[in-house]
Amino acid sequence: MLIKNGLFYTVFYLAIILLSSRAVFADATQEYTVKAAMALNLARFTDWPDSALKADDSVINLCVLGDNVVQDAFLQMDQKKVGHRTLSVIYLSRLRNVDDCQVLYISGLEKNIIIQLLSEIKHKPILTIGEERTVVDYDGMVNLDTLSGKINIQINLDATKQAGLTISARVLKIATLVKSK
Amino acid sequence: MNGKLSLILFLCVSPSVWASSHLATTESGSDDVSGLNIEDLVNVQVTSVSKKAQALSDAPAAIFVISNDDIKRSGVTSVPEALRMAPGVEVARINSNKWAISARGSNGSFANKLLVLIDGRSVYTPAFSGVYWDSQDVLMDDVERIEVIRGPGATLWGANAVNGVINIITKNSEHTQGGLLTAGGGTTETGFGSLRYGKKLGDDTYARAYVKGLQRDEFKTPTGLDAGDAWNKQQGGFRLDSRLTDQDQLTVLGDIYRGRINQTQLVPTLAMPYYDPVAETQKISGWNVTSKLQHTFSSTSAYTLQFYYDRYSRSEYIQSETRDTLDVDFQHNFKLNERQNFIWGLDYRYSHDDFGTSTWVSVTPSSRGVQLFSGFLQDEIMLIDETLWFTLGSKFEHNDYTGFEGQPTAKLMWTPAASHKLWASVSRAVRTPSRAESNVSIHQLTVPASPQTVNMPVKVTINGNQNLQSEALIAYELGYRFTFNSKASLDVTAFYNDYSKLRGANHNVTPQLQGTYPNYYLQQNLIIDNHYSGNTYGFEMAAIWQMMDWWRWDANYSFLETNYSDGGNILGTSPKHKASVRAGFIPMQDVNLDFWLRYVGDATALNTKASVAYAIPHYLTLDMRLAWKPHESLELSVAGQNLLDDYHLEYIEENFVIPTEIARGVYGKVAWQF
Repeated sequence: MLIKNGLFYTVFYLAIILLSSRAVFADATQEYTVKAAMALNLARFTDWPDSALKADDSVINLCVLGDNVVQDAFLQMDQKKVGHRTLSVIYLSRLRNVDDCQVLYISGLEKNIIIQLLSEIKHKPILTIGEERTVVDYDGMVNLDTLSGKINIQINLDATKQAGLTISARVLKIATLVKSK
Repeated sequence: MNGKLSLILFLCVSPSVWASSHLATTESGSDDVSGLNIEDLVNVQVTSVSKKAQALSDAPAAIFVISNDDIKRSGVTSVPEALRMAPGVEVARINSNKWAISARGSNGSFANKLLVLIDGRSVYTPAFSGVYWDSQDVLMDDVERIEVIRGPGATLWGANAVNGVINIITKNSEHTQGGLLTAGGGTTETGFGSLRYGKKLGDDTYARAYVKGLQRDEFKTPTGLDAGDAWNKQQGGFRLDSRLTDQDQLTVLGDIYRGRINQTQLVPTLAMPYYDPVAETQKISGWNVTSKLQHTFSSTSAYTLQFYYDRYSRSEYIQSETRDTLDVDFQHNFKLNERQNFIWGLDYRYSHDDFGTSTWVSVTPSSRGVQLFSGFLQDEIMLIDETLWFTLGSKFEHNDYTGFEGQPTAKLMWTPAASHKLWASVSRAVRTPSRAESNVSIHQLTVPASPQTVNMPVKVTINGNQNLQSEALIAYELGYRFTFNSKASLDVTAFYNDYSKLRGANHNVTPQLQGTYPNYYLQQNLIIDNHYSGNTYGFEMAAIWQMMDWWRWDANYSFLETNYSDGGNILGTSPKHKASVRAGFIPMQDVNLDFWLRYVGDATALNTKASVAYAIPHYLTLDMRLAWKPHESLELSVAGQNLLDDYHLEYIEENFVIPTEIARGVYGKVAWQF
């Protein structure tokens, strides 16, 4: 019993010591809060061809494929101004009505589905944003790549040009340019 | 006891103290960044630690996911031990090499209502309708996740997923590149080691291979004797993942293993003291290969074609078995229209066995091939845009024992907001008879001679029944999942299970006088039948709280009430209360510290030697792990298991196996990545 108590006190004190001496981590923001804000900014710095937007339309549809974590983060971007238009955040659980989107954020899809989806909407004026290399490898436009705790923007310029989209030089300056596979 | 108490007190009280002082600062982390410009955003430090805490499953079912990180940080060394993390699942270790595992009750080492799949391959054996847990192993480091689905998953997974399905999913070999060498050892885990190497073979082709070995020490009997249940096992395997075209993905994987398992069985005899303890080494071996082709027609239509072959052999004093299983499975899912997603599938399985015959166990015929045809279809209909879904489906199968079986299910899922999901379901599921239940004859025990037995011993034999029907279940479930804020989530499920035609044995067979002078004995045959019924109800709660970036809580509680029509307590009942609390700390950048406290309430186990079940007392235990990464590619860890007692009892097997208590264990481990 003495040994047993000894063991537990050792554990107890070890825990206390480790916890009180711990190095304080740098304050970090939730990944998807930043990604959602980036999507908003990318929408602000993108020009769509007139054909992609109805003449009287004052809304930019940002469609989100992702779980509740992603959805919650993007909710903060709903009704924000994008130039003279307003951003409308729409959740797509089962890949419905993708053609109505001006921006499509892809999270959590299986690789094979991503590849097919991107090939189906390849030349359509939809700004496709994803979070894995597959997206830009297979004709997607933007990849938000998390590297050592920061988000790096990768842009596939060929893909944006083929779809008739123009992304501002201000964004291109801080982005890494990549090509399809 | 003081040590125990102070530790529990520490684990329980400290979160609230820390929370009150730290929550304010953590919450301010989710500040409004939408005002930041893009140049600033690329410089923001981000964290994704609480992603798991918040992500809510989309499925209208009681799902719990054990991640690779959970496995690593809990210090568990086997799949059965990992399953202790899941709510609603009862894991009882019988001895060093045997486990009794079930979901929502009806546990036993022949627990027959839980389906287990490893990368799509069923390891549920039709020999006795259960899982030989000593044979099921994977390289734990390569497991991507273990999905634990309580309740009838019948529509998609077929028969026998009555109380749950366990899906063990290993990583795509694209994500296991390079080498991993692990080695360790300690008291109960006498020694273990593994080597895995992964390589890119082509443009989009990756592969890995591994070998592993383990040696586990023996435990003790309740009277303090060595239980003679030490064992060792060696296993190797590979996995290949190749993207053949943009639309076709091929996966091929396989394993081969052998094991030597020490055991002492109490084998019944007709002379005093009516049983013999037999100490022996059981031999197990096997291999399997699975190949899976996934073709994606479009973003909303894909099929998978899967084939597997599995062979295992087991040989022990009282019985031996070799089984070959071949399975071909096809599944196709597609979008029917903007509101409906459809999935259907077909499966064919052929299982051929060969049993040895001994004085105690005989299977007639000793060799038999059994076919299983099954198909399923399921339609998911969106009733209200992104808010309300209705799912209707059914599985149909034809097996050689009971013929056609239908297993329909209806589910409703309501998502009023992204962070709230409410679902309800009604399902029917069946557990089909096993080969043993149909064709076996087991000399189960000998009742000693007494005046009640006219001074003759009674040889009790359990006989299979070829007319046995499937055990059936109608299950009602209700579930709610939500995230409180960005840091915590809660998952609550309640269920009511109504069982009919549960397996029992008919005692009303007149005993026969047998033997020769002077060794007369009474032969009492028990015929397996479907005469029991019953119901269970209960609820499970699982919570995850990422209190701080470096401090995470995982807690769950399960309540289960069992009412069987066994006129008391014959069949045995699973624990009514079960709780698990894990606290994971990252006190320094390269250090992990984890505590895991478990409570399992009083239970009983089927006792074939008496008219009342064995009592299994409740227990409280603690596991701990401390890991340090002195270098990016090197991890040193120490883990302690079942620390609160020298030994404790978790289960007593129905027959033959001597009662054994589980020992405290401590081991050290080195993991090197190269």
